[in-house]
Amino acid sequence: MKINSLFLFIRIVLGFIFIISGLEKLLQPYENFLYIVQSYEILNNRVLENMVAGGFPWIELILGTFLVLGLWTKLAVVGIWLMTTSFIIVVGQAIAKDLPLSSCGCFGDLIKMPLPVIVLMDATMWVFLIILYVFPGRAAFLSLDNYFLKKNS
Amino acid sequence: MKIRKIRLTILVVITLVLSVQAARFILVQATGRLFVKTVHNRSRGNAGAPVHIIEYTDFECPACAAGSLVLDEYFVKYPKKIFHEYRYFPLMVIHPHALRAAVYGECAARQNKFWVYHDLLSQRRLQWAKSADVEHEFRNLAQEAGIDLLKLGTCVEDKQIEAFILKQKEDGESLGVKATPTFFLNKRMLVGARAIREGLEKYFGEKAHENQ
Repeated sequence: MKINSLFLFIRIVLGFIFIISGLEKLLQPYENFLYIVQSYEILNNRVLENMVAGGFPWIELILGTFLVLGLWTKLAVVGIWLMTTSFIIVVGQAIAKDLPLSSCGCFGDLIKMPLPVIVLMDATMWVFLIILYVFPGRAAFLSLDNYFLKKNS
Repeated sequence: MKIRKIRLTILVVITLVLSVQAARFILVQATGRLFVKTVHNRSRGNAGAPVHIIEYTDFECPACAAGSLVLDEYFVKYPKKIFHEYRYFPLMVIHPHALRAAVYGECAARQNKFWVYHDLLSQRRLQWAKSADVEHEFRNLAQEAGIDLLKLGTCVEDKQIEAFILKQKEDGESLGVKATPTFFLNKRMLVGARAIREGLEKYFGEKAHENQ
């Protein structure tokens, strides 16, 4: 029970991190996030930059909500894990290139942290997401997935 | 049961989308007044022009100097078609002299010398930003711009000037401005020098800039 509660806590915290991150970007003009995407100098293509700036915050919000609710938990874990992996790569290359970024832009103005700290934070989330993936039963504790599963059986 | 789960998923997604759109709508409605075209001593161009550009900027920011050059270029090309309003957005955390530069800029504006002083501040940014005595640099530039130094001295100590600048910054924040330079081209937000160039190219139907 205690371990399950711990898994629930991790799931909810991770979910909320992505909900807040997505909401922060969605509630401000999308051009701000577009500027951040362009600052990373990784896509260098208008269409892709627009797609990422327009789509990423929605994906963060939706997958974060799914993770908190425990709805399609495995899919949400995989999706968020992929996003976290991409963040580590993108921020890592910015550090390697010594790009003039004062913060990562991940949470807008809410949280501003130096790029190495962000990589460390992402890496920690990355590990927790793998743990959630490896133990799907525990990750689904008090989830809507479990509710539907029980109703089905 | 799977159908019920899919239905719930759709409901969750629709709720999220509608909530975000409603919040965005409320935020946009609250800031409409900030787009009213106003002629003042920090505006330039034809007030009846079809292109209205509001620029939120910081004298100490390198990208702002680049953005300023883009606007100058378009003013030369289309002098009757652009109306430009300058608004202060000093990023004090990363630019320690930005607020003082804005205070000097505003005091220059109150002597109707804003644009001359603006150009000098932009061109000599590297010089004054690294100076140990930045106030001295600002006064030298003011003298070069033909500003009355006595009046300027009184003005730059007036706390109301600083409050005016910070209010303008606050207004910018309520429009969603986070970085400089941020432009509003006929209310459309564009962040960065590259974005304003592309926006103007698009508006004037010029050949698009290289896709980089």
